[in-house]
Amino acid sequence: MSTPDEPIGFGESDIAHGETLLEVDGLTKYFSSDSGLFAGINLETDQFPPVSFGVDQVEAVDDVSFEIKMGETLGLVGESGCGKSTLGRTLLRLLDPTDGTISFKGDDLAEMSGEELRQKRSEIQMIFQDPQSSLDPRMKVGQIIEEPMRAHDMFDDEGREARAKELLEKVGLDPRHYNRHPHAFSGGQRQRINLARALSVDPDFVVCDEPVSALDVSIQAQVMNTMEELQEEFGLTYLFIAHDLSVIRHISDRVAVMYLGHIVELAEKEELFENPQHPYTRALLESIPVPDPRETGVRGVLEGEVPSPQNPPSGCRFRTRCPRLIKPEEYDLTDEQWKHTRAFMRAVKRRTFEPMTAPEIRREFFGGDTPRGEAGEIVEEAIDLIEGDGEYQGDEDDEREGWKRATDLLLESFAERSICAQEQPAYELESELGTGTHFAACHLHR
Amino acid sequence: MSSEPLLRVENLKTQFFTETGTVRAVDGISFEVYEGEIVGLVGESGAGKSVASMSLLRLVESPGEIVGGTIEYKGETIFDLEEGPDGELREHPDMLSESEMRERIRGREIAVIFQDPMESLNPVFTVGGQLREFIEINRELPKDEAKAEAVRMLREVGIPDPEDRYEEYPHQFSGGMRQRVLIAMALACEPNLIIADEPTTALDVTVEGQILDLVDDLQDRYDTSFIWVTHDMGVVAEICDRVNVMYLGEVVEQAPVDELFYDTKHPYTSALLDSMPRPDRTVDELEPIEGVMPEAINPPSGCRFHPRCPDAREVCTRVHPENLEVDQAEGYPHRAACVKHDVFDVGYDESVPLEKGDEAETRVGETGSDENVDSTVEEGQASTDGGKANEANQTNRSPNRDGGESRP
Repeated sequence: MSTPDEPIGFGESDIAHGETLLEVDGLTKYFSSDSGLFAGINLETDQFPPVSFGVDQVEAVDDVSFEIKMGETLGLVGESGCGKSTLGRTLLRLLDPTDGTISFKGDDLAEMSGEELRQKRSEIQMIFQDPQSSLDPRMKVGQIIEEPMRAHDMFDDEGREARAKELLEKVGLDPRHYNRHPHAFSGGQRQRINLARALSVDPDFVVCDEPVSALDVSIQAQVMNTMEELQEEFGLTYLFIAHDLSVIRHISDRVAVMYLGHIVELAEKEELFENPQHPYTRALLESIPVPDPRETGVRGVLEGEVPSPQNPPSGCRFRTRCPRLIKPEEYDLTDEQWKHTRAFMRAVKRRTFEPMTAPEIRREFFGGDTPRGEAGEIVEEAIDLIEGDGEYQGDEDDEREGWKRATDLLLESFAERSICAQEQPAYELESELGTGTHFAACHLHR
Repeated sequence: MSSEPLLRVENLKTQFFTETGTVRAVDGISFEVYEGEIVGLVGESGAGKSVASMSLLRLVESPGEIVGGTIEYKGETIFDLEEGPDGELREHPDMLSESEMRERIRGREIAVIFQDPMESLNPVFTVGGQLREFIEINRELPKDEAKAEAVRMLREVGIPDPEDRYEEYPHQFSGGMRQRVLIAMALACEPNLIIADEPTTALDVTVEGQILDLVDDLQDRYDTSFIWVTHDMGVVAEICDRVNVMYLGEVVEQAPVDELFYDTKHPYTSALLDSMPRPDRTVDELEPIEGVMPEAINPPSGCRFHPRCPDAREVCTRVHPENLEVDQAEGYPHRAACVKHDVFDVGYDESVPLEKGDEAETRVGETGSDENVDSTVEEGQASTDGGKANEANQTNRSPNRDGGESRP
């Protein structure tokens, strides 16, 4: 190859703006939680033979489907541990998917391997969170930017240098910095070097994994503005992974919200932020501290913690914390009674209160008036079990027995019988704002 | 305004003496904390907020040293200097001794919550054990009472099933739960003041919400004062009563929270607010602050923000503004360190606005270059009378121009 006449944007893409660039279907990534020699063998003392086989699986990403259009920015937001980074890496085949397809320009990346996959990587690039550790401190900036081009055999030495210098300028750095080492740059500038490196092979698609989270607010804005300019100029498509909803709102065209390995909601930006349809998205939006002291809206605080991805809840994975868990159909409860029962069930499960007498429990959780009918009987039984627990003055382990039985009883009778526990939700809704579709994984929309 | 402040800080200076020069991490800050209020200390990384808060407890370690100023807590002197017979500065005789600080002040009167709860808890002892020991020593309770108190505190900060979790180790707690443990520890001696150093920064947004709610709730019940160190203007708006904005070792604006957001008096504060993406509305165009924060080893002459300031004029390169009262609000002063306000009267209105070209050194992407450090010096010489800052500029040209990211 020779020196290009038009160094930037040389490979014209064959996909028009707005057409589907990447389509992910049923993508799943499980990790085995243990990887030693005997990892698959578990000792079980209560059975014969006293061993069992099988590896615990961490369901990091489970059955995720979406598509990304040419030239758009898809924001992927979620809390730590929800699987957003794993999803990003699996898309690039930095991790091997357990199941599902990743169709990029019509080719299934999940099926590719070896040289074919390596070649394909010139079209998909990644930017990492930590601008410090993603740059080799012993290499000069020029070398860092040229390395991907060398790996893909693009241009000769002079051509690569010319392109590296041009890219430095494009990302807002001085081309004279070509011979410096990364340590001479601030965090924001290092992230620009990362950008230049990713763009050197003229990719169509860039996965950005928390690219601005390590930066100060004022520097964040600079880098985001540059990323937007580059997108415009080179027709890039971004998957922008972040935990910060403000950043996501600023940079994205469409937004996907992840919770515990599932995408729970996906819609155009304005629609998602102004008309959120999943209780988790609402909770997230309500939790952000708004930089406005006159904003007095109530903070919607989510109870409890994210369950372990090793053993995620059935059905909707958010149901164990959901403030709108749907009442099981077999019980005849008013909304108010169901609210009380649900709160009581969760308080028992999390043991947030001291053992107390039955009247006290009734007063505390039900305003003195427990529901009637079948549901009422179950509640009364649980109250009795807990009350018995408080009186029992014996061995520590036995003391907890009644409480444990009450927890199991309540969960089996209520939580497990809700539609939320029985079916995995997935609904397409009409958008109120904008024209796109609105995906919400919540049975409230059934 | 209630009568006497709980804590009064005046002209506090903390410096780090390094091989490449003196880092003026905190350079003459003054503020007060009154009973029952949450005072914010806001700024970007490298602004000196953490050093300032650690100085309050005299917890600055070598090569750092508090070199000047006064810190008074409830009428007692935590730090003060006086002039000795030979004109040298020495510690004031009223100053609390190290053992008094340790036995009476730290933990009992002023407690700290750090950003990273994993580093503040010892991984080889149980959570409950650590909390119990802390209560046992500081409140001089017998072991069993201390244990009961520890369990009570754990329940108080919302840890489910506290008896069982008392026996667990820190790694078995999630980040939010660990932060709750630290809050329990800080509250255990019912201190009057808690210094919270970015306590929610490492947490997820829903967990952050839980912790902010908890703090709100506990503050109502115990009437504790807080110094809340953060970089997040959202958190500031949510919980602070009054705010100090720090830039490069100085407090540049001090105001009640509503004033700070709605009647902003310092260009840095405005720029910070304009550069943030918002969660509650879509901002089409962010206005970033140009350049990066310079190093505290080598601060710009005059106003330290002038190389990045959109309102900068020639006078800003010469005159170093004090943090003066420019307005009153809710009975508290609104102070700002910007000469564009009338109280300064240094001829800002007549002064020539700085050309964009003069600020070449702050242009995005050029901050890392030696050539541009040179141009800073040249520009500085043209516009100043060759003060200290210029000498520092020439002698301390650090090979590692790490912008605002470096910490002392």
